[in-house]
Amino acid sequence: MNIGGRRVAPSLSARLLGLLSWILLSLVFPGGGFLPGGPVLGAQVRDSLPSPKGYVSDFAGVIPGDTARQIEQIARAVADRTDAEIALVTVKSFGDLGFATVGDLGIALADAWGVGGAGSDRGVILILAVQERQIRLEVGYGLEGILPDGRAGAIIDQVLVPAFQRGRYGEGFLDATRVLAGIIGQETGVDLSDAGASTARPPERAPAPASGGNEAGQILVLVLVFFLFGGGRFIFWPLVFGRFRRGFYGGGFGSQYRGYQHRSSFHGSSFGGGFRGGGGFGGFGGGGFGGGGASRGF
Amino acid sequence: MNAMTEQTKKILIILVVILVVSGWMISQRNRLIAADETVSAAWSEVDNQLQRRSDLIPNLVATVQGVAGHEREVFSDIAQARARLAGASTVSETAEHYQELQGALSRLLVVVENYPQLQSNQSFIRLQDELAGTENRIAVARNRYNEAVRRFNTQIRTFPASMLAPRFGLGQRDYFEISESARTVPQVNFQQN
Repeated sequence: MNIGGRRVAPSLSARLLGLLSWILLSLVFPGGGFLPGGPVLGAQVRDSLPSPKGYVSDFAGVIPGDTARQIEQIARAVADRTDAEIALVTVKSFGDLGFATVGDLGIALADAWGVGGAGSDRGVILILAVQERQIRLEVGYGLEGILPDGRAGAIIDQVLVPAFQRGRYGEGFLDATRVLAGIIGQETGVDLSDAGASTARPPERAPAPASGGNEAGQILVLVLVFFLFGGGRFIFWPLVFGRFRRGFYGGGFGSQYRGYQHRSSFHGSSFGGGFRGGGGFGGFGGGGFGGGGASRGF
Repeated sequence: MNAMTEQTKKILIILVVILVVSGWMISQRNRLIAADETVSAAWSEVDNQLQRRSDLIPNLVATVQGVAGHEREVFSDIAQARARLAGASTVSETAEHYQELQGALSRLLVVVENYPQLQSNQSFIRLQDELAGTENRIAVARNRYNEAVRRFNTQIRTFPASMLAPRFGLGQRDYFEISESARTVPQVNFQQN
């Protein structure tokens, strides 16, 4: 027994010693595979992204100072009184930053900055690439319900594009901020009109008329008549948008997406990277984005 | 007595080693399983967005059919690709049929260019926005999935997990790979005036 024990024990303990040092080594040099989930982007791309300067990050320098301050005020009121955050970004060129489309830049900024509340994901980022003449409205998970892609496109088409085509970037951004604040305020039941939120009905896509141009012409005449008599705002808009909204939120288009608006814990843990720090600006809340929104050239 | 103490010492050492090894293996196993689950969660988001796009297609097709009903070929292509995508069971099958559907949809958008009345149709523009947005969501979900797969595969191929993963029944996960041509998201570029 003793002899056997002596024979076995050294080789066994030697093996165990080997295994132990192996484990220790692997603990000391864990390698890349052990790191928990981090950013989606490669570190290089993420590092080259600028930090936010505030709610307005005018890197291209196209928004007049007083307009930027007005926008900041509205965005701050939205952030303080609701849990939603609006970020505005202008860049000279997304190509120079290493992105193929304005949408790629959008999701990269969204992941890096984490606009919107960390749990609620109610953030929206408006991006202008001056050189490429491209606009992107990036919508966080929590706002996809009130800002579906179609509506995001409508806001760009009706508010931003007309102003941007005349080179009036500040004006377009200010109007868009008012509209977004109006939509967020209306939905959360917070009156933001004193802070500059738009009280008008936000842009929507009306349902297409059943037949062609003739009917459209008649509607145009009706609109003109209503506006001539000053009642257009109150009589015409509910006629058009009332019907649309019912269809949109009730039965038709919007509701079938409700099921997709859930948010798995996966995004929160791995990808809802929050931004902290930055000179003078406290940073955004850490909301998650999934690529919703709309892009346009102008 | 001396021999006994020595033996007790050895047994104690062996016990401690076994404890350390099994504890370490359990923590390794938990790490690997967590990474594997992250991949699965990322995949379900891809699946979600693919489903969302499939649900969008009937509306889109109906709108286009209203003015271009005779372009039968493109509609049947879309219907077939959509059905095949729904029947895909593996990641590579899904990727393949995803690209087929992508191709059929871009042919539809080419057809649409011949119908100016569609391009000023507000509900068609809205559908186009929803489609482009969903394509973008798919792209984002796909990137996140591939990133999770990369992380997991690196982990299980790196020593020491490479020795343990097969024992835990964990193998490499497939990337959602698409060809370069299908990488471009259909662009909506209507000028409103």
